[in-house]
Amino acid sequence: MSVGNQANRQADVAMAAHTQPLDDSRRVAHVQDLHLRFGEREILKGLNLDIQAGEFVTLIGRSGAGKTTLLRALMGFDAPTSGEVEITDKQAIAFQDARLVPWRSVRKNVALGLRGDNIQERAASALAEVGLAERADNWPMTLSGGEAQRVSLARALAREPKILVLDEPFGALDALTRISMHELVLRLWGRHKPAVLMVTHDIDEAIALADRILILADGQVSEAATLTTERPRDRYQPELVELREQLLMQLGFNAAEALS
Amino acid sequence: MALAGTETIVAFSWESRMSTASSLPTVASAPDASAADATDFAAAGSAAAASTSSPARTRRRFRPGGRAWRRLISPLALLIIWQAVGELKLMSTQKLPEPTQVAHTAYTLIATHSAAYGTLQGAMLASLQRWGLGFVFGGLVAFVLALIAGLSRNGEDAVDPLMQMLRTLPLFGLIPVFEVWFGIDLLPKVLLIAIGTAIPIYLNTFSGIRSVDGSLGELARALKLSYREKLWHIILPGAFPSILVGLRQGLATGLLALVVAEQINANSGLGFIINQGAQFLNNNVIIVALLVYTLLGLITDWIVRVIERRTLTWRRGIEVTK
Repeated sequence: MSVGNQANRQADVAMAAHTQPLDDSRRVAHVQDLHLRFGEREILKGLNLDIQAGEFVTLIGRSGAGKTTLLRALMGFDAPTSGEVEITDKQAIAFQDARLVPWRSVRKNVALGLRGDNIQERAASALAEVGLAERADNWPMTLSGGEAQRVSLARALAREPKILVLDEPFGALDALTRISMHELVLRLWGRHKPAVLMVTHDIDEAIALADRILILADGQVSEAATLTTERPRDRYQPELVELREQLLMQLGFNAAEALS
Repeated sequence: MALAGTETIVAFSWESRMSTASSLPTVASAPDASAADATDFAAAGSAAAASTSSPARTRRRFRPGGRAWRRLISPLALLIIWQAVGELKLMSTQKLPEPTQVAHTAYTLIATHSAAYGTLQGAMLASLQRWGLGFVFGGLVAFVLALIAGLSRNGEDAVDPLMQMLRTLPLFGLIPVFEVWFGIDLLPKVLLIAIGTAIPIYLNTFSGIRSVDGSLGELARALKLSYREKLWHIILPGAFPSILVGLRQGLATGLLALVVAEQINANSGLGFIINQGAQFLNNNVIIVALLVYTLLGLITDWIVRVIERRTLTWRRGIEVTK
């Protein structure tokens, strides 16, 4: 592991060759030797993944690497061809396309499927947390892309998940909105401390947010970087710039080649 | 000789009745509907931007000089030309009575009870009853069948082939068979209307259910919705626009079936008035009855459109009215 040098350790950035063995009692998701095949194509080839309570994990990979496939298997949408998938039942997901039910008001979208007491109050306070209390009675179609994603986040958080799965939630947003969404996600994560598994193709996003960065390539979670730098992070910090280069290289992107 | 002449006229008027009855409601309603939709969507942008509620929007649509009024100009022009044709004796008023005459006939039919025709309102009620019975019966059965077929593959395999067969069956070819099976009273008429209503309602509801965005089904799984919640919050509202389309088409086809069904041994209803009018060579009466059919078609279509406007506000992005 070339990155595990002195400079990086000093900067509290370290990379490990494998995902760390995790403490079983705090584990909220566990995937072992997961194979998933669609017809002839094997998308996931013996994938291992463990997520501990409260940690922020981002999963990056080239498009087509199987990121969404992994999430779908994790959420139970697709049955694995073989292998083991365990996840806490206190799980919630925010999709890339916000996926609000267009014919239910913003409030009802957040309340949809909530169980227990005070459903309306819980929905309202989740909406207030994302700063959209006053839009509770609007139709989803009147929301901007960023607002819709915030409602989607509120809907996920209202479920008080132990693991929050985010499937490229900000991919369709403009850069400025994305930055404010990062702040919002970090704030909500800091307050509720769910484990977060966020899939993204944006390396900067991964670096800005994650405790651990995983790379999905060749159907396996192949590399991990662990970051302990305080947030918010300065992406121009030399260690982070170097980490970015390393991650790009691991994704198979060679700057010299690309420019020649 | 006279008899032969009568027969030709009867045959002629039957044919013209058929084409008028079938084309009028559709021609009158369909383009109107799409135009209204276009207006709605045009209004939607500004409504959403200004965050106005629906009353304001309705006011804008019907303000003097607005589109709703402008759309009345061409029908009024037609009425004036029709009147002028009569006044200028371009066509025999026997064949084409002018609007004022038709109005007078309508008034007479309403105000006086005649042995030949009864009253117009009585006839209308009789026709409405048949239509209503057929519509409710056919509509309910079709809706339930569409749910069965739409919500499960087994249901689809069981129900859909039968409905597709029924769909291709020429509806009015059933009349002689129905007369043998069910006599010539209310039952065969109601059944004919019911089938006419059922087919568009079934087809639209079924396809509506099936075309609900699959990603919302995934969402329902992610949110761990129960089947009932999924049905109530996702599937039925998602299919609702199609269900309304089916409702409108079902009403129109049901009306068409009514017009034809009422020719079976009619002793009451608008069909009876038309038959009598044909017998007495009284075109005025026939035209009045046809206009009443059209009116019924327009009114019910309008009702469904009001329901559409009230219930599909989410599509136009107006604030929820609580």
